[in-house]
Amino acid sequence: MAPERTSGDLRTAGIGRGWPVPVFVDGKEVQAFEGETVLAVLWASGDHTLHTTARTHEPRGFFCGIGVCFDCLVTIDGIVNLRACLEPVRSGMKIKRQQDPGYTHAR
Amino acid sequence: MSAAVTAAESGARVIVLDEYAKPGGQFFKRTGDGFAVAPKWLTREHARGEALRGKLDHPNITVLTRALVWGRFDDRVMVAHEGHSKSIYGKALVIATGAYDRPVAFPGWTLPGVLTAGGAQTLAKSQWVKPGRRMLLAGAGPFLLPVALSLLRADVSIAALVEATRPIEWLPHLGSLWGQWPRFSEAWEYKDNLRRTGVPTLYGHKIVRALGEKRVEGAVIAKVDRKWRAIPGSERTIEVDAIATGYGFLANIELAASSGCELRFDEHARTWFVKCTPAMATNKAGVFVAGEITGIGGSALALEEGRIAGLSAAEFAGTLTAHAADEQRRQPIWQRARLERFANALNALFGPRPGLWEFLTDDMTVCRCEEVKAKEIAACIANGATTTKSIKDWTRAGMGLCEGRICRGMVGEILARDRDVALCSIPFPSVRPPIKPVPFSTLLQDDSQSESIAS
Repeated sequence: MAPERTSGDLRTAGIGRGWPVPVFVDGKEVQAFEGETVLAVLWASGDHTLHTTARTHEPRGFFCGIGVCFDCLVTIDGIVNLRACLEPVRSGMKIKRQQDPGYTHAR
Repeated sequence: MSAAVTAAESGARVIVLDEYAKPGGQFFKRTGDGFAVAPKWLTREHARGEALRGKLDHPNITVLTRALVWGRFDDRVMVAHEGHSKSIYGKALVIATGAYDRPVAFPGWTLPGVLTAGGAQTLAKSQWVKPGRRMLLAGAGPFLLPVALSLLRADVSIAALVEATRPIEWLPHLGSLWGQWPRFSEAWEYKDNLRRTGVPTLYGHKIVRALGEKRVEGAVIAKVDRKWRAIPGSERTIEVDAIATGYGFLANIELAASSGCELRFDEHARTWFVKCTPAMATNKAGVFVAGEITGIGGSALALEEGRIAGLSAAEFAGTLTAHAADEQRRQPIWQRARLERFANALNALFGPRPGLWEFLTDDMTVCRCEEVKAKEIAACIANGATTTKSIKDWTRAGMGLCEGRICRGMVGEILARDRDVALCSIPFPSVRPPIKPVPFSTLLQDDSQSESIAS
């Protein structure tokens, strides 16, 4: 039986989720659930700035949510410019919100 | 899925290449693995999607998910899959790449929390995460209704549903909608749900501004005239933390276009689709199409087109005789014609009107990736640019990672407006592989194989 989550984040209460998996967002451990996308985890946390832009340093969230707009770009395990909306979470995954162009932040 | 199942049942070997984690596209998108959702919360299309997905479990079908088709060269398609590049050979190819919400710029549209209706629905129905606690839905057309329902089920409070058309404008179109009773009952069911949850629908209104510094803190809506221009003085502010817009769709025609398929301009939708015959064949031998890339028409139409394309692909691959293919195509072709009439009526009624583009001036960001403003594009046109290509070269609009999918339509509208030419006279920009960004590391991991496929 999968655990349920009803706390104060943006996850809908009363929906059974997958097993909890720990992921790291900007170095901080965050509980995610198997079956979630990286976007779902980041958005549920309430901090909706997924990256800031190169030219005007504007905050950006996600726009299309289906892999078309390339606005939800994050760095995952050192790989830059991945679409958070299409990446499933994996235990221990290291997610970074990108500042400016992702490529300057490759590790 | 429909094409794959039909072709496989006609004896063809089929490889399904899907960019997403699960086949089924947007309409039949399912909840991620591991979720346990009570049946009463599932959408009406859920069971149909599962049934169709179940049919993919066929000995003739191989499904490759998270597989990005980035180009087609002669009789093979190039696929980026799990960090490797593959080329896959097939006698016939069916392209069914679907559509995405038409991006529409208005002040504040780049703020986190301004979303497309489809994106908001996807997060709510497949991830059960609220795009916002209290949202505004703005757009035109019946697609907003299922989006609203998905958001309500995910426990989002909807401040209002803002529809640009007015019911009185629907009257002249009722004739062409006659006989489409299942669609009406569907719409009625959605409306009834909104009524019971107390969500107000404001007709003849549109979104004119998103408020907030770092994220959406409110929305300003206004009454519109028949051309969807905001009527000054009619603005009002609604407190919301997210806004979703759905002003129709644009088709993902990049793969077809880069494969040399001929396109057609649709006056009502003011955008490009792939041209095809009643048998869903394109001008390229062995390349067939199905679904929204042939015209926006919804899932029922797409399924019929998939059936036809699957039969045609099997015929082309030689597993179905021409006679049998003709015979079996007859019924779905008839169905398609019927559904297409309905789709055309909806597109005529809810297609974008000029006022939708009234904010494409001054400091409005048009190209989100490269942060190009409307005034830069206008200046470029004033300096003599006559094509989207020269605007891209000059301003970088359309040169970013989305490869122009977001700004292309709006750049076209600015060009048509400023040069006073018809939008249809501005050609769809040439598309070259890779049609979506693929890392070099993936291209270098080339384990090309020769797989024969029918679709």
